[in-house]
Amino acid sequence: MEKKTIWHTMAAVDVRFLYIIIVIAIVIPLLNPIGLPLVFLDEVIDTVALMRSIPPGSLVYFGAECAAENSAELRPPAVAGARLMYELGHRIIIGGFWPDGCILVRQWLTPYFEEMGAVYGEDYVILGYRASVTSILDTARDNFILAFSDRDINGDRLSSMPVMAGLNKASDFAYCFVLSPGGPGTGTYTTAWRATGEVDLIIDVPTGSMYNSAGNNYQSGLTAGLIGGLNGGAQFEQLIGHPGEATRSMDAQSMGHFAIITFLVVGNIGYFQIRRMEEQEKEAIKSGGS
Amino acid sequence: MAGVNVPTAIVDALTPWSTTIGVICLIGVWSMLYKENPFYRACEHAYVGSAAAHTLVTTYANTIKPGIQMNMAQNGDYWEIIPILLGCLIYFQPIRQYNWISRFPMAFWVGYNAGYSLTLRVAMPLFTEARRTMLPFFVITDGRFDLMTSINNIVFTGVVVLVLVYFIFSRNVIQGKGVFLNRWARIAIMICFGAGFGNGVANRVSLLIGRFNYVLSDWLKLY
Amino acid sequence: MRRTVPMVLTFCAGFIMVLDGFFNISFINGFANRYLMRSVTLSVAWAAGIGALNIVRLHVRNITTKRTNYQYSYILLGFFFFMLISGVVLERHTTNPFYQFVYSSFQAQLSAAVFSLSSFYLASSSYRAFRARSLEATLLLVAAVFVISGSVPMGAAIWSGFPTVSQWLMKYINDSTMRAFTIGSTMGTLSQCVRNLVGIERGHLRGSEGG
Repeated sequence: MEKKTIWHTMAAVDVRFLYIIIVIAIVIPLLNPIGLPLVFLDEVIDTVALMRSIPPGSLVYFGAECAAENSAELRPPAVAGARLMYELGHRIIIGGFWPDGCILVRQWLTPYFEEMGAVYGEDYVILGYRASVTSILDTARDNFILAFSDRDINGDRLSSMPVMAGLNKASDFAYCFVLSPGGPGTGTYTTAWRATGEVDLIIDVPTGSMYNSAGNNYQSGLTAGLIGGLNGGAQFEQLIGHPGEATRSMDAQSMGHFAIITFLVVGNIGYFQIRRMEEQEKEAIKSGGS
Repeated sequence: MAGVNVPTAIVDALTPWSTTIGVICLIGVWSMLYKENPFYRACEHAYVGSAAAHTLVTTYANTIKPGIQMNMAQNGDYWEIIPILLGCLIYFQPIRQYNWISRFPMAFWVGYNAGYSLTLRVAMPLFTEARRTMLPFFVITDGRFDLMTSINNIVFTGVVVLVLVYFIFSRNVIQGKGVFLNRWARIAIMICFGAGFGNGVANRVSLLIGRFNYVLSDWLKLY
Repeated sequence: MRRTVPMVLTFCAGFIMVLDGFFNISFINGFANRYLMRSVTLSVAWAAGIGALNIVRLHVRNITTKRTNYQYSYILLGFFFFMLISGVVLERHTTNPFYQFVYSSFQAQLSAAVFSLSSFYLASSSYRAFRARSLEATLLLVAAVFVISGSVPMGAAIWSGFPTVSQWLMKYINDSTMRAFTIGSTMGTLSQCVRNLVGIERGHLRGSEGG
């Protein structure tokens, strides 16, 4: 009979035990954050500098491309971005092509806008979800009001709102700040508005899983700014002077990451130990037989 | 058409329970981690039903209704009935006898998107990326040779070329001594996938953090 | 009729877009912007119900034929019609406080909860599935460990080199490989679009009877 070692026991461990470990690894630092210092990336620092360089009164498109499952990663940069835009005096036009996007962003931002004294229709407007992203963004190149049927998320007329003054086509935007959990996302705006020369500056705010391809777009100059994942969100919050949810969650993120690394390392050590023992057994049987 | 309103008193009474309901839903879904059970199945079905309805509601409220209000009622663009009817032809798809009719809107959308992609919109990013791949191999910074940047640029351009060669030319084309190119390309691809996995971990851990923030902060008010 | 008309429709819609993209002809540009793009928007919006229709058909059939676990179909249909009716009839639809309550309590939370399950599965797969069986697999794991460590403050606290190595891998290996993927896939997209436009590729016309 095969001899059972600690490695065999560990290889057969119940997965629910791993689930408990990952839960503990995340919950404890959420309740007792240490506040380890962040390493600031050039891309986030440059993005904040870029946003600060845009003159007050400029029109900004806020791409609310997100869904409820991405809220942990995208809410912090969305809130921080909207705060900074309002503080800089930018007029914010919020649109989105994910069914949840505008509804979620409205829920996230309304308390902050109210706290800062921003007025709906004067400082910002939420356009609401629209089906058929490519044709709408294409129509908006020539006629923004027509593309969005002159209605905001509440069904009120866009053309009567002061925030829309001077906004006739997509090229009137100084830059786009796009949350990007997939498609539609930054890539959609890049092909629709950046490639056609309407908007030169697109700030990409991807989730962690989209961060891989986002770096490629940033290096090539297709996007002008990059704030990636929860880590980017935490840096962004601190750089604008409003540490929030992302900053608070970074210790839990650290512990979660190291729990996964531990699983990878221990799992592999166990695998190789068992394989080595099996090979030794085979060798022993062979040499015994001969 | 004036809409219906639920009395404010009812909404005010329900709203404080929103987070508790959310936590019950979370427990229902996570109960799957222990084992398959009817509570999880119920939550799963509720999710599919509500998600399908939500997409329809947002499409109606923000695309269909404003379109009718502005373009037909306000501007008199009654020609828009034609594309509306064209879109509605897709509903023949489930009827086996007439499902060929659903090809018409599909053909229209495919044609539009093919034409859309064939213009500069897709080609421009390609050209930009190709141009930004050609980095200088000998970089002079402040009048001195910058070794690190030069090596990095060589690595960057080299990896792009290797991976492109790997994908465009099959193993049958590159043979003999050239096969080592494939090996290096595969190494670069695996490192890229590793980085992708690393970022995927960040994404997944964030999802959990989001849920625990909801339970600990929004529901239990522990911070 | 059944294949030719859709192919002509594909060609015409695509050709007008190509003309609009490459030439400055006011008639074509105006037509594309005013009519063609608007038509796509409207037709797509009105077709949005096809997925929901299929789900409803499937679950009504589950109930009528009393298939295994058909009871759950009642829950699905109940939630579907409750959200649909409340969203359509309520004033201001999606921004109505009652709809917001329903959305925030059920749909948003269920969605977030379902997706967060993948975090647990990732943890168990990290322990049980990712094995350094070959050089390539080892490189994948090593790169992953550096990126995972380098993207959080604790990584930098343990060794200040983690963020540097992680950033180097991201900038010079990941970005360049992604660049090659993008260039390759873009060329594939372009060739596929040409094939669609001229009728060589007719996959979208399949799945229907007759010809």
